[in-house]
Amino acid sequence: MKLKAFREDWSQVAEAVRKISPGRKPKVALYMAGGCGGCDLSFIGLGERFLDITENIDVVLWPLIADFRYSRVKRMYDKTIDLCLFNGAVMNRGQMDMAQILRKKSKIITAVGSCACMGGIPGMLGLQGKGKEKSRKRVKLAEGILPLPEPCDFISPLSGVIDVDYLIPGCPPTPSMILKLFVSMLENKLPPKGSVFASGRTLCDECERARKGKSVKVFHRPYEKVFDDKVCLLDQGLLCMGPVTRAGCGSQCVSANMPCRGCLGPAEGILDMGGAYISTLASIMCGGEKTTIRKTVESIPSLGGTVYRFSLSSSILKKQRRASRN
Amino acid sequence: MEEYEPKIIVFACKSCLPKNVGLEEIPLVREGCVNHLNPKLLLSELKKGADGILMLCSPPGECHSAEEDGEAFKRFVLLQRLLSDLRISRERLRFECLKESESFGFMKLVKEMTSKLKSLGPLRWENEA
Ligand code: SF4
Ligand code: SF4
Repeated sequence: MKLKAFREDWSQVAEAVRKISPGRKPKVALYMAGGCGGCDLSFIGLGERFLDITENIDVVLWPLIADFRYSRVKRMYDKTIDLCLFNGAVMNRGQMDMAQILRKKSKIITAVGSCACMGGIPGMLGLQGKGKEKSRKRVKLAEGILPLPEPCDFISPLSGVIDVDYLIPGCPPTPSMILKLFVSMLENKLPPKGSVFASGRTLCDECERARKGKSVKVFHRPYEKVFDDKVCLLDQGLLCMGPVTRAGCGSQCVSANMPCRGCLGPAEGILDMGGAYISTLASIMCGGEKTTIRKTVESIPSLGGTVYRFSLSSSILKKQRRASRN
Repeated sequence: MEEYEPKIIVFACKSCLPKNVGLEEIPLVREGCVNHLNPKLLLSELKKGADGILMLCSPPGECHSAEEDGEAFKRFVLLQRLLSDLRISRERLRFECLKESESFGFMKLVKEMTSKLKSLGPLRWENEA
């Protein structure tokens, strides 16, 4: 049901793009740092609307698909690029340099995807501790020796390295969220700096499942049984991150009867997803004997990994002050 | 070399804190019922440099906000689990029920915890197990 509403919304926006024909085509750069490429694919997920957009913009950098000449970007005058879309976390020196260069050359920088917004999946390396394994400086391949970039001391979201203007969270963001950014740029109606292209409410606020509360005795993994698609997943013992996660994805996972993994990051007013989620868990867990409570908590499959799946690098405990070149 | 003095933060409400203990003897206290403890505060204290945290509550049935009995323990167990998933020793977090008047018990707890933390050493983020 939700999914349908979200598609309709999308077509309206697409209609808007068709009507715009700006005098000068804005210059757009797309860059991928420590990510999986899924965010880039989300652009392609726009389907035909993608062509509508590319007709209206001038792509100056997009290593995955079009232009990958970094030297050309470096030679540009400052603020030549109108909009830069940066996806992926900052994991090595090369990416950090590129982020700083792109900040100089661009008027607007948008962090796209959970890795650029919060550190994302690569940020989970923080669960491993540091310095266990020495990172390699080079690898030997059939073609010769390939030098590897020097890793940063910690994995950082884009805002940990440079100032960021807008955020489009999601793993990956839905094509409609990306489309909205393009449309507001082309129409000259960009929201104030710091805006997030998603809702401020929590996913639960938009969820229609029935809630019971104070009843969970044991937690499950999604494959362990068949779950009722009318009742709140959390009440059925699945770690659904809905109570602390920002809405705006169209409840994609929950409508497919899968628990929300929290990819849109914390909703407005929530500082730390883990801290906030612990309050939620305490309120839905069955009380009783101490041993029962301990058993219930032990049945949670990886609490740290679930609550901080996308936001470990920006959590209270692991967040680092702005990284610099040295 | 100067001996390492661990920093302990106590979370407890006014009614569980012993009245006759001088403030200078208590490491540092954040007042407020632990049944309503916002885990965010506890995580922030660890980030700000606490080495260990003591959560104090009245014994079951004696809490002045009676209907909340047991909430504190759930939060404690969940937080302990979260910390251990983040490779921080569970022993840095301790939960005890204390009767109002037991100032002796309170000081004993603090001493115990201090020696435990001394053996663990200062909280470092990497590679604690
Ligand atoms: S926890 Fe998940 S399933 Fe339950 S109401 Fe929230 S979003 Fe819906
Ligand atoms: S339901 Fe949760 S995990 Fe799924 S897309 Fe939405 S925010 Fe992301």
